[in-house]
Amino acid sequence: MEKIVTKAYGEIEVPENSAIDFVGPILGFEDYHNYYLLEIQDLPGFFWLQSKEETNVAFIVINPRMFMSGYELKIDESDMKQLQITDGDEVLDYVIVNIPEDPAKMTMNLLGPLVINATKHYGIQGISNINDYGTKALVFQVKETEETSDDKVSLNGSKA
Amino acid sequence: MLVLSRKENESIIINDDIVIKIVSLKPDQVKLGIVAPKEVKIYRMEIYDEIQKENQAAALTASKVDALKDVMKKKTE
Repeated sequence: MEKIVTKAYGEIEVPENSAIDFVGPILGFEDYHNYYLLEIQDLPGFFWLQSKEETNVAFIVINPRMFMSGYELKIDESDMKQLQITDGDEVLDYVIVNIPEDPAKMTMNLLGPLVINATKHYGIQGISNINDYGTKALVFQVKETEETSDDKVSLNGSKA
Repeated sequence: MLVLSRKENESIIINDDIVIKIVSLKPDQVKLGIVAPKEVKIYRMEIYDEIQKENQAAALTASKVDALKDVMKKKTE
């Protein structure tokens, strides 16, 4: 195990060499390349993306499908290539959430998805090629529309 | 910054394989045609700026986890 300092929990232990190298940087944070993906306690499906280099740089990320069943990841091939994905690699994708004063109005950035090759520990922030995807998609409004159309089944189903 | 004057239908070439052509000119808008290898990323600058701004805002607000836990509890009840 390796000791790291986090914004949320102070000093914690993580498995050695578990940092993800963002070869395609998080825009605006080009100086920081290495991040840890940490589960948020008592908040299933939410993760901290904690910078290794700067304790104060940490994002909350989620799998957008948890709230939006029709979500599609569509980014340039050249971006995907940076992840050096080969057969059998585990690939994860997330979006960064932004929590305003009223957390019920939390938004997710669908325009700049994060894609991670969990096997090789590479990450990128891509740019979505889907025109409707913006930086401030309401997390709960999306869910509520789904709830009415799918009679709450999709909510439970997508959380499994 | 390098500044070049071009007329409609004229082009510039960058790095042997990227061609940018002035397709049409209007008083308040220029249409550009771009030919580039597939691996070259081309985006409107605003998209980059928007994502960057949102990332910075998200990094600042990421501390409200406790309030978020309450909301999630209510939403999933």
